[in-house]
Parts: sequence; C-alpha cells; structure tokens
Amino acid sequence: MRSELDLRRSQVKVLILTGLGLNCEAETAQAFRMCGTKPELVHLSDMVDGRAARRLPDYDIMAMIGGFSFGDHIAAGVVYANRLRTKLSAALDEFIARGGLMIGICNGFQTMVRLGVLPGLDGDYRTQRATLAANDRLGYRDAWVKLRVEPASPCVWTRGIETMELPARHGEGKFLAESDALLARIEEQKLVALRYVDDTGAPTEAWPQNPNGSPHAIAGVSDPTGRIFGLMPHPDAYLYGVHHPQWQQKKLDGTLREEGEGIRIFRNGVDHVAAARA
Amino acid sequence: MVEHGSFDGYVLSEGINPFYSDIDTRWMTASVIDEAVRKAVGTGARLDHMAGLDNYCWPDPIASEKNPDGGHKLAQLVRSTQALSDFCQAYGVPCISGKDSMKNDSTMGGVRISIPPTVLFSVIAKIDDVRKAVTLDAKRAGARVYLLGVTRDELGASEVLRVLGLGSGGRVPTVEPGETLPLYRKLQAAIDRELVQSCHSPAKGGLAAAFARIAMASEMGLDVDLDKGLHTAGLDAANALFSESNGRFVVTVDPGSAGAFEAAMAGTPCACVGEVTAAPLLRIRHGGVLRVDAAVKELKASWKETFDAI
Repeated sequence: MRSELDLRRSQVKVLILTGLGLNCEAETAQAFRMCGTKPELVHLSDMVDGRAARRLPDYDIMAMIGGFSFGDHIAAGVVYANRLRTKLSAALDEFIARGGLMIGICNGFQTMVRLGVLPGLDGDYRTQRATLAANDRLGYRDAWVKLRVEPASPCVWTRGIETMELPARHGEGKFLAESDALLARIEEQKLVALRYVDDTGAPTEAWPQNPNGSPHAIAGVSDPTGRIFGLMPHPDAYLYGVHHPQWQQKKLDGTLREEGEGIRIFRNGVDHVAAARA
Repeated sequence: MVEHGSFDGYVLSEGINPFYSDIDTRWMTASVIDEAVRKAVGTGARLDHMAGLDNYCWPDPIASEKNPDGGHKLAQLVRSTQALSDFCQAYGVPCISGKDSMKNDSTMGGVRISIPPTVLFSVIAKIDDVRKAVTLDAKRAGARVYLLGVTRDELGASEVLRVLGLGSGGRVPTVEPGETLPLYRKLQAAIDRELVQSCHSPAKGGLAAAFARIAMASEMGLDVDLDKGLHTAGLDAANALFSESNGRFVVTVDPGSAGAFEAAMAGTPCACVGEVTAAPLLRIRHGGVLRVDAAVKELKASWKETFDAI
C-alpha cells in the first residue's frame, strides 16, 4: 500500500526544460524520480512553439538545468534568458503567481538571474538586477566544494539542511548584485540560501573553496517567498553515495550511504508541494 | 553508471606511448593495448566484456621524393597492425571503432618533421557493480603493498631515459599474454571479492612513478623494499625503479585480508613489498639502500608546478 505522502508526491508535476546545449536532464530527472515524482522533460522549443502537452503554469515545479545553453555565447544563460523573455514571459509570470516552485542549477541559475527571476525582490521577477560573472580565477573549474545553508533563509529547497558537499562546475559563477545597496538588501532579507565555506565551516571568498570569488561567499540565492531558488553547485551530481570523491573511504568507515546529499534539495521541493496538497 | 537506477557501469581507459616506436612498433602497439586493458582490469572491470578503439596517428607511410623513408614507416605500420591483430585476439578485445590519421608531417624552415608512429588504444569495459570499483589511492595506513606481475630489464625508450636525455637504448617492454591473462583474471576475481583496497598499474616511469602517484593520491606514505619483489630483487636499481614492463600492478590490501588475497593470487607473480604509512613519505629501498626518500608534499608540488605556470 502506498503511503498518503507517496501518493501526493507522485502527483507533483515537475517540468524539466531541455535542449539547445543543456546537458543535465538525465540526472535532474533521476533526482526528481528518486523523490517519488515522474518528471516531464520538454524541449524548450516545444514549450515555446506550443507543441508541449502541458502549459508552463500547469506545473508545480520547474527545473532549469545545468549545461551550456546556446554554447554560453555572449555570456552564460543570456541567450536562453532572452528566449524565455521574448516567448514565455507571460507563462512564467503566471507560473510564479500561482505559487510554482523553481530551481535553477548552474546554467539554470545563470539564466534565472539574467531574466530577473532571482533575486525577485519587490515582487519583480522581470528586471535583471544581478549577474553571474566570470570567475575571478578565469576559466572553467570542476571541483567539489563545501557549502553551508543559511538557517534563517526562507528557501524551501534548503530546509533542514545544515551543510553539504557538492561538485561545482562552472566558469561564470561570481554572483554580483547591481549595487552594494542591493547586496545589502539581499542579505537583510536573508535571500542568500547557500554559502561556500572552508574546512572550518566559515564562509570564505578564498579560492579554491570559493571557486569564483563571489562576495559574501554566495553560492545560492532564493526569492523572498523561498519558492524560487538558484545555485551554482550541482545537487543533481550527488545522487548516490558513490558520487562522492572519497566514497571508498566512507565505505571503509562504514559511513557510505546509498543516497547522495544532493537528493535532500529535490526532496524538499517535492515535499513542499506534496504537503500543501494535504 | 550505464543508466540511472542500477549500479552496473562502465570503465574507460587508454594506453599511448609513441616513444616505443623508436625501437619497435610491434611492442609499442602491444604495450598500449596491454596498458588500456590492464588499467581497466585494475578498477574491477570485466576482462571478458571489453571493447577497444584503435586510433592511429602516423607519419606519411608512402615513399616518395619528399618522403625517402616512407618504406620504413610503412613497414612500421604493417608491423603495428599485425600486433594489433595478435594482441586484440589474444585478449579477446574487439576494435569496435578507430581512426587513422596518416601523413602527419610538416616542413618547417626546410626541415621535414614527422610525428612518431602513434597508436592511442582506448578501452570501454563493463563493471558489474560500481560500488565495488577500485581506485589508485591507498586507503589505510598499515595496509600491505603487493607487487603483481613480472618486472624485466626493459628500459628501452623509457620515461627515465628521456628525462635524463639518455636516448632510447635498451629493450622495449614486451607483452606476454601467457603471463598477463591468468594474472588479470585472478586480480579481477580478487577485486570482485572486495579483497583489494587500491590498485594502480605502472606505465611510464615504472614502479617509482607508480608509487609516487599512489602516495600523492592518498596523501599517505609508502614504505617499500624492492628487494622483496620476485624480479626486482635481481635487477639493478634503475630497472627495479624505472623499468616499464607491462602487465604489473601495485595493490594495497588490508592485513586481515592478506591471506585470502595471496591465496586468490596463487600461481601468479605476487609479492608483498611493503606497507602504507600514515606519515606522508615515499620510501623505496633496493639493493639494501634507501633509493627514494621524498615527502609527498614535495612530490605533489613538483608534479603540479608545470600547470601553475600556465
């Protein structure tokens, strides 16, 4: 007999937009499947041209996945954001107004920031007010990072998580607000959900623990409702215990788990929707 | 992993060594095939579920006025492809694809420059359960270090000679499937039974470089005595440390599993040559003398500094 919660989870409608250089759909879909949902993968062009089975606002959760959309031309996420802005603006507004949840991972986060969906202050999800700039140490870097969740953050995706290790794989991850004043507001409103930390657990701007030099060690940000979240590191890449680089040590220690730490983020999103249905 | 939802997976490995072509493209080809195969075996992948790719990168093999030694290069090519056939069949590894890039020559300032005959051999192999996969880094201080396989006087076209500017002289490493296949099968079975904590196969730079890589990867030390090696004991220090003989592995094993491991490897060349140490120092003895005594920190700094300059 399926539990009531499992039933509600299975009814959560998850959209994963794909195509045009994005490449993390398999693992992002698997993450959502591991949380009890049946995510739907829809090519952006199908959504834009009206060939998709559902409209954007019909979904409970929308995932903007990692990859190299449009080859990072001009800058990462710019062209994808332009496409969404010109073709799906109204649909996106409706999705957000209905209380939809959004998660943007790496390229997805970059796109959301260019769109203005994040930080989403003052109910304005349309004006770009921040950017994800080139890493201080130029170049793409793929390495695991240590993260700490801000306990006072309203972000539903990071509830109950204190720390996490995840791979970060990007060349443009430095979160910059348009002004110091805006950065101060972002901090005041607790919109920083996730920070890069060093081995002592303290937020750091030092390379390589902070791979891009983001001020205030910002790794992930939410909007004031906490339903819309973006992060540079990849929770979709730590689904299984064996994803961790020291998994063999953990196996010998007896601390290797079947599930990876990244799943918790997806489970928070899914269960937030499932609980609201009760 | 092959697909989400199950733990079977695949392993990718390669072998490449154009330097051996200075001596004999048959053994160059055999060596790179063996290197790719044994690296995959050393992770726990299945010897009986492997496919290969042969990528050829060759200088112009057609004799002409501009290419007076074309005949020699063609002969090298023939010898290489014969070896490809011999050793892929011996190992049961079909070549499912490949590439040939011929005529890699250039004339600069009136001088004709040709690339050395090169084969890049890649292997894709199935591993039944990725949770049993083995990596090169030693895991626990006190683990026993075993040397598997045969070390011979084979310094021809080796890394050590190259680094020291001493030319290509010496015997190029050969491949003996009669020796390697039984060893690979038994090692694979031992890995499957989870008797092995780490595994790494020496290639360029021989045992010394292999031990260094293991130490750097684990940030622990190794204390080894090559006078305990079955073959290294009888070789001179240069060969013991730097010979690039094929078909070998450095394996670490928990002392509690040592008996079971040695029994599993019975009938193949297998000797305990030392142990993993908590202190991050690489110490290698041979001929009763401490030949290598290096801090892992120094090894790593030296190894990385080339890229730091970029």
